[in-house]
Amino acid sequence: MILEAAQLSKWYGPVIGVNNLSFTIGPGVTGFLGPNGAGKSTLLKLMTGQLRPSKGTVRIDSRPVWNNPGINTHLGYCPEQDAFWRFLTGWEFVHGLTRMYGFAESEACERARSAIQTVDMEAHAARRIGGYSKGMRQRIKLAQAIAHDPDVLFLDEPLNGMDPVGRRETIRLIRGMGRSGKTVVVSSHILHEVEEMTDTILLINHGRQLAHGNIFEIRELIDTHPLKVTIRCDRVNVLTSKLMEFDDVLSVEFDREKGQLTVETNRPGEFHKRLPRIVLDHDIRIHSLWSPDENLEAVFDYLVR
Amino acid sequence: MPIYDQAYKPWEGAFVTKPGTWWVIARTGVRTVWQKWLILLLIFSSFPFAVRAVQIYLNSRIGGDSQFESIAKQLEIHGGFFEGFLKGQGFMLVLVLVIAGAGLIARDRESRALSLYFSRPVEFRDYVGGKFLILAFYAGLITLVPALLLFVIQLFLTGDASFFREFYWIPFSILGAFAVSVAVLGGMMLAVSAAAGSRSAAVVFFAVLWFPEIIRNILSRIPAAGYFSVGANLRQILSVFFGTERPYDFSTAGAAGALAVYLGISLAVLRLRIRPTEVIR
Amino acid sequence: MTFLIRFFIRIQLKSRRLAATALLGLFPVAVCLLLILIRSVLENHDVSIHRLYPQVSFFLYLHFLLPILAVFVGSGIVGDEAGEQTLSYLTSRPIPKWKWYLAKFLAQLMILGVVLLISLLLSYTLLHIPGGIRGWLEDLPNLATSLGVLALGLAAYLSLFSLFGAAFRKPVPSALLFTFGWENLVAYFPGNAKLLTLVHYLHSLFPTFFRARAQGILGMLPFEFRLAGEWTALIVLILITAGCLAGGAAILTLREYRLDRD
Repeated sequence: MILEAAQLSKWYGPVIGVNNLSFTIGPGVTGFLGPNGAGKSTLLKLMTGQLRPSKGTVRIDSRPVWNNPGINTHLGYCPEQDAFWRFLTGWEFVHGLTRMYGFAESEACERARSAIQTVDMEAHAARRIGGYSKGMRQRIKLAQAIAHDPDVLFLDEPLNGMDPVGRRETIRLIRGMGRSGKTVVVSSHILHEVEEMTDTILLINHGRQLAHGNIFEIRELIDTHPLKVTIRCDRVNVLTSKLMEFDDVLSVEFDREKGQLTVETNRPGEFHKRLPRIVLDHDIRIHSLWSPDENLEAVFDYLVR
Repeated sequence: MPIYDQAYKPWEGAFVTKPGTWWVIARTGVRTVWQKWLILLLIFSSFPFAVRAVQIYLNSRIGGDSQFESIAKQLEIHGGFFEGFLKGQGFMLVLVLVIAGAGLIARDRESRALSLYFSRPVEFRDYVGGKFLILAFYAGLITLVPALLLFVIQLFLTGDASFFREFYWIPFSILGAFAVSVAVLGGMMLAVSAAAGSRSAAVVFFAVLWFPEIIRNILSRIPAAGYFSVGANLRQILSVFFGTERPYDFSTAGAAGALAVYLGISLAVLRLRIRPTEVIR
Repeated sequence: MTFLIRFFIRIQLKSRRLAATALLGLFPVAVCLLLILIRSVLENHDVSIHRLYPQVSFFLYLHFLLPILAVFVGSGIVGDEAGEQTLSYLTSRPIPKWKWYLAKFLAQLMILGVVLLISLLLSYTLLHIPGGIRGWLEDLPNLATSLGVLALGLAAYLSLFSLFGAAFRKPVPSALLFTFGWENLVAYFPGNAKLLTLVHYLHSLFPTFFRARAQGILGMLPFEFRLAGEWTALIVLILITAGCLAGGAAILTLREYRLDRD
């Protein structure tokens, strides 16, 4: 199924949630990536018909989603908020919500059971949701979204609060659904999480679309921007003088007291390839190496600039 | 490497509180509670004030005129006039308390903010006192302030000191009546807010106020049934403050006692429900 | 639809709100129990217990329990889901919004109906203890009338406050203002203002109780106090219920709800 947003905007009074977004999303997994407050959840709510666009349209297979409950037959939605009827058991929650798709009792039971099994919650399904851990609640929330085998699945921060095993399983599930030809949209503010699920991303910040497409293409685009790398090592003077010899090194900040230097390079790939050779040739011991720019915020900074 | 005891160690030192923390709670609360609904209600509740002000004006114009003797009698300004105003504001007072107070403690409990308060130099009395002042502020806006203003208007329009000489005690009565009403009703609202959820506190408060009133209605032949009703007890006490005829047959001291019991129960509920974290030793 | 009603009944039955509702429902029963216990005191004041049923059903049920329960439950029809943020589960299903609104309304109506029925039966029985089984049976027509009127009143109040719940972000103050402010204020006004209250039509279906109880007040009024005809009242209440339900469903369909913690 094809999701289309055309000149989509949403504002809450004077606050703009989503600003003039236009994109098309096809089958496979697409990640909505952006820092907290970027507008990802608003966008997902617009795409699932929870919110009415202030301007523009959202269509799924050319049908508008706002006030069109019929289309929900094809959609699955796992909201971000940790919200439940907490006095229901996991089974009652998933079964009840699956029944609302119009399945007969026996089929709803079968589907609910299968979904609960998929998220590995059979052992806890008879317990009240109020007593679940955060990770368990995330999983049961996921179960209600997949029980009716939707063609389009919207997952808002689905890995929040999950333990490493749950994370791995969920990522595998999402990738599997994408491979099977379903359209899966996952929102997250954690770059590596999205990277594990998909190569296709939509970058959003302050409600605006920064980039849309293959993650490597976007990375490449970012790679032409300068990157800062901080190195803590012995023989700081030697390393500094050696690094200064290269054209791609734009500047080096030197802190003798801390024994560290911060290099700014406009060809990070080449810089990282070259560094081990210099270190080995001059017998320099590196204690730590990190890039203050290699986080999502920094990537956004580059793109916004 | 030594292994440290990671068990919980309660604070053994003295608990020193800073004076005036209740003021911070009250000031912040007054700002937070201020909302469109409340403003509308405050505007709405100023209509009776306007009507009473017109009455004062008319009284000043035709008071001494023998031609309008019968009308002038009805327009006369005395203790009963102010008592009537305060009684008339009763329903609005309850509504304002509900809108301002339903979530005051309930929301703190629901969002587990109590531990945030009590991890600072704030004690139970600071917290409750601060919250109570928020209610008193808004209650004052529709009862105390307009009633005192009416008194001032009357003083200005009288032209001589005769009214003041005769009724100098009225501001004190207004203040007393306000203090009693707000202490009881505000205390009850806070207790209900602490005992019920933010979404149900308003309904519960109304139920708590109305239910005894209904019992009083059913048992109207038994004067003592009035002790059940907060409203009846307050009306009885108000008549003492303004020196007017008692509206009910039950004893005034009994009414004061009943109100004290209501206040006591409210405080007990607050004590029971406002607990930050419990340390089991 | 049947499943939806069952789903909402299950949610209501398991929620803490049911306990609060049941507690409210027990208030009048507790009063009746108290009346029985202080029977001798009452008799000294010339009040006979078994004659109190009309007053109890009129004051405690029609004027207290009915509106309080309706405000308590009805105003949360959408607000509870928005507050708990569970609304997105309902709006992401292939069900028209009006359908789950109606289902939830019917579920609430059934539960409150049962609470009222049990409460009223208990109160009725307690008040008829002195009269024995014979008194209990003799007064049954009164019980049937009050049950019918209360059921109708419950549907009307609940639909109205559900409409408030769909239309306003904070429906409780307006619902309380309507019930305890407006309805009390204009019920004894001359002219047609009272036509804009629910209680006027309910009084009209409770003519004996109303006239008997309100005699004092009515006698003091400087105008002739008219109740609506019983059939008129019945039809108007049904129309109000249907109108409020339709209005609430329409608002829900057209309006966008933001979850409380968004």
